[in-house]
Amino acid sequence: MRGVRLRTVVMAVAIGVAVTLAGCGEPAAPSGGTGGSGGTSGTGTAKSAPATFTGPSRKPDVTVVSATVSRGKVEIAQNGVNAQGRVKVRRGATVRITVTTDEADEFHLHGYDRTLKLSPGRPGTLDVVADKTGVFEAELHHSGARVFELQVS
Amino acid sequence: MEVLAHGLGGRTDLPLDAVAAIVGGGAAVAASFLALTVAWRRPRLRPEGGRPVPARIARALDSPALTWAGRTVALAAAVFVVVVALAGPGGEKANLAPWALYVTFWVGLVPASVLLGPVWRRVNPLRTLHDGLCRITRADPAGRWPIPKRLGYWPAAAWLTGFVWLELVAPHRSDPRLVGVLIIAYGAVNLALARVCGRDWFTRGDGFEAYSNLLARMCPVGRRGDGTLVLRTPLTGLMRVTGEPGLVAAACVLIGSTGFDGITRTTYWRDNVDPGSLSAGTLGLAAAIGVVTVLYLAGMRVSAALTGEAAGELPGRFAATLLPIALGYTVAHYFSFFVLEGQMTFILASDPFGTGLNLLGSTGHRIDYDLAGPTLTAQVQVNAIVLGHIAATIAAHDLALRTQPAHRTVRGQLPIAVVMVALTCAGLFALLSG
Repeated sequence: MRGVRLRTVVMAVAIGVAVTLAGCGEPAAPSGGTGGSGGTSGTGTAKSAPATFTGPSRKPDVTVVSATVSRGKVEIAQNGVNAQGRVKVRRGATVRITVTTDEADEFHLHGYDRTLKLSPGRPGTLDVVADKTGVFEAELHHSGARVFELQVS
Repeated sequence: MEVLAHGLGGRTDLPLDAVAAIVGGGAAVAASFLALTVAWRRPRLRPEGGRPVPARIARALDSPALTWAGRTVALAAAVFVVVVALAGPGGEKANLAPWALYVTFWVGLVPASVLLGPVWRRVNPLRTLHDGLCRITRADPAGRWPIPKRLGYWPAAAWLTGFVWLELVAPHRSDPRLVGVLIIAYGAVNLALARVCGRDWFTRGDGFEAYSNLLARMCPVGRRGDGTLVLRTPLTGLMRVTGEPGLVAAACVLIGSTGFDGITRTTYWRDNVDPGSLSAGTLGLAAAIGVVTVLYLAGMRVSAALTGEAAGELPGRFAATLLPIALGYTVAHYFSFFVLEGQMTFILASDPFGTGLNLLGSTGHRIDYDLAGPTLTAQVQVNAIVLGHIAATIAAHDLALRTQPAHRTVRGQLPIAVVMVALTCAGLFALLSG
């Protein structure tokens, strides 16, 4: 009983402290990058030149995700294999997302807050360094279609 | 249209190793029930117990100055959120109002009430406005018609149902303008009702205050019957022998809605249900609340049959023992949401109107996801669910010892224990599986 009580209290206190600490988040990355770790490349296909001291997130661990949305139906493949709804990667992996839609739309990956403008029938590509863990939704802004979920663990 | 878990953010926690968590959690609750039947044979949680808080501290905590400071801050914050909601930037990315409502207030009310007591009752801006209106119009703050006793927590249960539906199902729920209009409408309706029924309306009629008051029953600081402020065993506040109308409904809404939010995150739901569907969401939410209610009522009915008690009395009497489960689910489900997405309120408060201000020095900052990493989050989740059920089992056991014939308590408790284990497993499954 005492142990239960203590743990509950400790847990509740921890939450309170964490909230106090939560304060105001972390500063934005300086140069328009969204990833905080500086490993995220911009929209488009060109990759920035590899920096010298970027640590483990620069391993050649690239997951290729291709999504096609036509008439509201979504098809996804992860590294060429058909995937269902959820794309699973390890933290630090680079995810290269290619999206093709039959209507003009905007692709949005939540949490990482990356967007990609899409014209009908023309594939758009986005490179994301998966540096935050969790499950993140990727959707099309105009049609509202959920494209996939990115699970980073 | 945005379709997001908890109504905001677009990030959710990683799924856990469901089988290990479910088996472990269910076993822990079952084991704690067995331990209770052997080692806890007489009531130990005394409602009139507790150690009085030193007089000087009690006086400071009860001081009118502290009340007024709290009321001023709460009213100012509420007005600020409403003004920003209506006049600030459009969209939840730039406007703090949805974050303030769904994360800081709704989730924050939980740790505040469990740790500090019925705080919202003390600072509730609606009470402040009600006082002010009564003073201006020279009306009696006690109202004209007393609230019927049998109403109990039913109005609160109705408001809570409305709120969880808004949070989890309603389209455009993260639109700041909608948030602003709804806060004003909610305030207006409750002020009108308080005008008729008096200030006591807020105690059980204002959904948020009622929620905070219920959670505060688990607070280690509480008041004895004579008003003395005491330090007590956290579950003591749940030991009330007479049931209260509507309390079962309120507790089941809280448990069912959190469970539903978890279910909508499973790949099963995502692959089979259109996440934007209003009817699927509404039906799913209603079904989740319904299942929890049926499970609870069925457990109570079987328990009554085994102990020979009147079946009508048990559900109300044991309703408060559902509150630790509701608390456990809430902590499990919203911990990371509060710590991570909760940062947005403060980030956006730095430049509330999108005019380029930097009041708090955090304009343009991003959520720091490292404040609650996956390991910490997973540990909090499993512990919260399992400990919530163990606490509920303890509370129900103590209450049963107090009220049921001694030689039949174990038998009477068995159905409740089965329900507890089932809810633990279902909770772990719904909240944590992928």
